[in-house]
Amino acid sequence: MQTINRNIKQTAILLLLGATLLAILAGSSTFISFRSDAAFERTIAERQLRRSASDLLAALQDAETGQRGYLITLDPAFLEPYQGARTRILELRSALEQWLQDDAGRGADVLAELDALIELRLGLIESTLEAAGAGDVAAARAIVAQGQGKPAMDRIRDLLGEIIAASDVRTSTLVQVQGRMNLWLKTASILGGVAMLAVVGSAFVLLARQLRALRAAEDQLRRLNSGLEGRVRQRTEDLMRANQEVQRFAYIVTHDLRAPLVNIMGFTSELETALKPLQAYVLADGETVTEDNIRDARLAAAEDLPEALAFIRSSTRKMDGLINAILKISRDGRRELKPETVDLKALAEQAAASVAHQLGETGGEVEIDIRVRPLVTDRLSVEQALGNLVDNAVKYASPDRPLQLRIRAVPDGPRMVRVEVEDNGRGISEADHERVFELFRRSGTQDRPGEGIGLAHVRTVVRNLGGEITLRSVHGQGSTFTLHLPVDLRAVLETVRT
Amino acid sequence: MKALGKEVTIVMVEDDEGHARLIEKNIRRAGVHNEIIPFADGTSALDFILGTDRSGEAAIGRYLLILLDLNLPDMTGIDILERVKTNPHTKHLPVVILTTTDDEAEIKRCYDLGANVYITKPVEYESFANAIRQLGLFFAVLQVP
Repeated sequence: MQTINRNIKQTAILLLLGATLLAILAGSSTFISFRSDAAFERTIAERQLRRSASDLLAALQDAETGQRGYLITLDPAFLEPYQGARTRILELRSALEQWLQDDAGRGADVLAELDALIELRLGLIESTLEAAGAGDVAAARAIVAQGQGKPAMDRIRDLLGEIIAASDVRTSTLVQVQGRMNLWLKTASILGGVAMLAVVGSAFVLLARQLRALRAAEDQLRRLNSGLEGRVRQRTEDLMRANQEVQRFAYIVTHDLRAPLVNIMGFTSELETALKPLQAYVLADGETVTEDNIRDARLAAAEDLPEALAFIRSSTRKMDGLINAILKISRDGRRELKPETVDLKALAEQAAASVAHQLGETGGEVEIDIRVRPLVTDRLSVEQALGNLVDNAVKYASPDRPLQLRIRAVPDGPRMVRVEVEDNGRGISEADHERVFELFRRSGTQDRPGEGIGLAHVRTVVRNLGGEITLRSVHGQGSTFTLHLPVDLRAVLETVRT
Repeated sequence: MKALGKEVTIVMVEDDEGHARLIEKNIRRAGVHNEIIPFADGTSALDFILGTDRSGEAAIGRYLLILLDLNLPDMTGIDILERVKTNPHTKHLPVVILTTTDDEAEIKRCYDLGANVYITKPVEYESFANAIRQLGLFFAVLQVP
């Protein structure tokens, strides 16, 4: 879930970055194109200025040409281009002013000088034409001969040439500026494109990663769900098993407690019966006592009464023993388990050492082969279970052969170990494989002392540890009891609590 | 108590010594004087009834009445009942179940397997004694050829 949250955050940051980049790109592009537009307009203005200047010069020359033609031929047809040129000169002059005004500073001075020269030049032309029109061609020519027109015209040409040259310089600068603008625009476009690609690419990668994380989370959820179902099923089975065990336990306990009770009631009644002949004899109070009375009373005092008392006593003792055994089992079930590191090898050696003396008498052997790491479990429980199994192996050894006892431990999956206690003793017949674990039940020939508590006790403590005990045995050949123990009791206690 | 002119032997499979004594006393009190052979566990009882090879041939020519406690240390009385009633040589032998439980399912199971009489050992001694005396009457009935 954390991965997904982080991914969402990253995606948001990327999107924000992309948007910022786009804004910067759009802003700079707009700025550059505005600058470019301005430069373009300026270029157009310069071109107008340049054209106006050269047109003005051409118009002045046209005016001169018309003047000369008229002075030579006196043909009024030549006055026509002069008049036209004159009108154009005025128009172009104002156009030039308009374009020059944009160019701040120097323009006004140049324009003033130009105006004066144009006026001078046009005035000269006008005066010659007037003189010629009045028929005084000689006077007109004299004005021309004065030579005022040529320097004025030369100056005009220079001035206009300067304007044009300046305009050319500015135009070329503008062209350079525009080129630079174009380069910036291109660079910005390329950079922006690359940046956008990077942002989109990483967003895509992030999205893919996010999808993967989502799918993984979904898988995990499904797995957890199915695990939960399995656990519920496992718990239900455990519960049913525990319930059956409780019922079985109650059955056994009531049945077994009832047996001595039947004896107590029965022999109490026998006591009563035996009391009658005694009373008949002892409390005769002067009545005649027959031979039969005496014999019955003696029999009651010598046999019936002591027998009944002995049975009552042994039955109460048995009941007490049973109640103590039940209490012990119940206490073991309630004892607080203390998980600690337990070395199975040491425990096995300890169990073997406790029976070493008995084994030495019969020539038996113990073989210990522990191939697991130390467990985290309740030491006392494992000690009791192992000790009990080893004791049983010695107790029920076959009389025909020396005991071969093997204590083995191997891993059974990552969380469990198998501890096997194998003997070559008398074995347990198939029908009793479950029964031997029940309270007060024993199997085979009853030639050894015992109350049928040992294995029931072992099963209780092993189950308390989250384990189980199983049995493989062939009657007459030997038995193998297997303790299935969890590697870490803390984990078991944890799952029980949750 | 005789069957077909032969003396009937009572085989009593009862691990509780006190119960065995009480049963015997009450049987005697009911006027039955047949031989009673007691067994305290299932294995030795089966050894006697079916023979150590469990073939049942040991029972040929013998007339036994089996008093069977269901709760034995080494096997359940039901195991013995089943074996006796499935063996061709012993299935005709009358079996009386004597036990402390009155579990319906168990009673039914015993009758299904071929038990002839089922008697619960009650804690009230009087009814127990009565039950045993009735058993004496049952023996008396059995006595009639």
